[in-house]
Amino acid sequence: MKLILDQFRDFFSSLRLTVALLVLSIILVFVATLDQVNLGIWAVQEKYFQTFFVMKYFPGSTIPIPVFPGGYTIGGMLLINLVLAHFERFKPQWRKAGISLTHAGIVLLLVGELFTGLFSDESHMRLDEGGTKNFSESFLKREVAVIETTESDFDIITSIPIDRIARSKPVDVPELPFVLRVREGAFYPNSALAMRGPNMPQGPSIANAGIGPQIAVTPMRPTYKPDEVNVPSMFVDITGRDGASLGTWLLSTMLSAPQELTVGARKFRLDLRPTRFYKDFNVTLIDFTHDKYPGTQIPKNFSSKVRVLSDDRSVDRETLIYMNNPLRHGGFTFYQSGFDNNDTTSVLQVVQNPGWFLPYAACALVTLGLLIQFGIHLKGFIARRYAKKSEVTP
Amino acid sequence: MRSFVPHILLLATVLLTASCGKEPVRTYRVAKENTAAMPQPAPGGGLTSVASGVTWESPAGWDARAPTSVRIGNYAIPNPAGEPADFAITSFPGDVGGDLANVNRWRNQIGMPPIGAEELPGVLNSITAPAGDFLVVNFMNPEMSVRVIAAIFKQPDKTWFFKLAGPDAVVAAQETALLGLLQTVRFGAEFTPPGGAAVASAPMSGNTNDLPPGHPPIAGMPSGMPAATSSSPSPAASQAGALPIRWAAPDHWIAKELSQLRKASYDVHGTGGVADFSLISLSGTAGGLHENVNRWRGQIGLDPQDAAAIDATVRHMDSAGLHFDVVEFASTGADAQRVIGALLPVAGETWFFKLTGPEAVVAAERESFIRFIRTVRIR
Repeated sequence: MKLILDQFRDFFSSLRLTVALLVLSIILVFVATLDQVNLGIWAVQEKYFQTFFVMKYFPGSTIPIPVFPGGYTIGGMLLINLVLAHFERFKPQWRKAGISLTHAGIVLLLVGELFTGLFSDESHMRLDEGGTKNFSESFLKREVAVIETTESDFDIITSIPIDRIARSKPVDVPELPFVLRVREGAFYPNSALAMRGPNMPQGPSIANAGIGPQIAVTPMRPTYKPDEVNVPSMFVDITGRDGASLGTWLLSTMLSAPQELTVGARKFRLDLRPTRFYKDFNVTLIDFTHDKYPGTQIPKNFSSKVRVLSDDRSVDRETLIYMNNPLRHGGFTFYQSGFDNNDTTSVLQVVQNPGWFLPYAACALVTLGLLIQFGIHLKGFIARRYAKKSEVTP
Repeated sequence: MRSFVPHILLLATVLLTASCGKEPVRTYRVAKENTAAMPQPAPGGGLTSVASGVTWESPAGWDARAPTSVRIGNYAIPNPAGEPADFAITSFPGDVGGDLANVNRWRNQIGMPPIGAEELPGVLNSITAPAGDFLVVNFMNPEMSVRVIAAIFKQPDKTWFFKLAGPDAVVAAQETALLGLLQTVRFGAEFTPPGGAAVASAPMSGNTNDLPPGHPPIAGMPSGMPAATSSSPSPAASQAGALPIRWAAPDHWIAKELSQLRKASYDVHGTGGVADFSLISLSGTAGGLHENVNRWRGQIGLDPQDAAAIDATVRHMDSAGLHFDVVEFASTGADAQRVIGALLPVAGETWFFKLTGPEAVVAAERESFIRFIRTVRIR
């Protein structure tokens, strides 16, 4: 056992591993940078950095094959390498306290980045003036929401991530009286929708239930531009527990409202929408202000006056959100992000990052470590210089 | 190093397993939301009702479209000769500025001058229906061959609008059908929405891609069709209200993402491909007519022309007090492309309207393009 542990320690504390990992990270950053042309920054981050392995799908296959270590693997191993190497090579000494602190700061920075990548969520909340919401929506993630509206007091939402349903495998959730399955080849990462009409000759729709038969879907090439959003659409076969078909439905983020489905006495709504993150409080936009520099269209200031009301009514306060003055509540931070609809809609960026303080702590540690280390050197330098002067003084 | 191999493999297996984990399906409870479900459209007529406390019977032949956050009812009336007409049912709190303001906005939309308060009684016709009295207006602009017939229904706390607009021939032919629809309108809680769900009548929050009734269209916004490829609001779209001009794009043009330069951007689908429409404004003359035409010619592989040759092909068009220089040219061959462009000088800027794409698609959209620029107005 000791032999195995020694081997692990030797391996992870080796400088060769450091060099190998740095080379791998250079290659990863280089390839990812090139791939931004094809995928854009968000998809590249997800594919290369926020993953343990860079996966590739071979043509005609749905099985992901790892082709290169991802950011989590390289970063994680570098972290282990740094920590072990430190303990392996640096002996605790007061005169090296600064270096130790600096290293601790860098370790904390790496841990913080990993923590942020794993546990943070960024979303946005669009609020019309006078409007109230208790959820924010993801920028990039989409979900198929099956909303059971049978109860009079509350809705039960089953949220199926789009990646989960897109591969045409049955999605069987015990709480639902039916199974959903995307029709083979009928998932479109990006699409355009238009109403069927005499001027748009199309073949018969795949859908036979809901609004789908009225709508023509044109698959589009996915966009990776940072200022554009894909419009995913899919045709979903819904089958009851008794095997009876409950229809083929068109789901798309472009549909303006959920579609209704009744199974026995239970009522459901089907919707493909940005993934929602519900809060235990409501945010109401009281007023949005958009100031411009006089005589120009150049924005000077955006601000949103909002009311925060918690579900248990223990918090009820008004606050003003503007640039560099976010609202922090319930572990979320609300930043003023944009506006729309002739200055009557405010867009707030909602960030939940449990490790938000780690980079600050890391920077403080690094600063402190460097100050201590330079201080020690400065002290030694002054002492030596004083000693030299003493030597030459008669 | 060889002794490390099993460890590396073990680590890789662990990490690989971790990386294969997908996001789980989540089930949770939330408080009920005030959102309407998609009404089931009734092709070819039939009772249509929505979760907004109103029902109506749509005439045969009207194509139901998906409702939007504002349009409770949304229909296209096919037109074999060209653009379809558009019918929308909307409701808003209060009186939305009053009858005169609404009437004048509708007149403005079809390029007609406003009327004064003293003329208002003469254009409002009262029609009695089972639901109550509707005020109906009917305007036609002979210059643009467009017509709007709209009905207003007032309730103590809100106003309902039933507006049919589009090519004169279609709208005029559907007047009787519209008046028939008004006779089928019912308000009140006794009318159960499809599926029996009792839902509040608040418009859906989050979707703001529509405008109040009679509001002039805003750049980049389709007038109700669920037909945009990308939806992230861009700063340009957000500030469209500040532009010096406004316009109304054909319904079948699909709005797409704006950019720093593009003040309006549409995909125009047709037989043989998709054409691209862009509206850009640049300060001054931005090189002038000849330079820009030759730049556009170069984009589709045509040689530049001298000023005289370009001037000979320019079509001068005046509309609503604005002067457009309209040009059109096409390349030949297997991948023939066509450009229809228009230049409009406004307030020290030049606005460039350009439709470009497959030859046949652009040629087929010529009339739509001209109609588009005829809708341009100074704010």
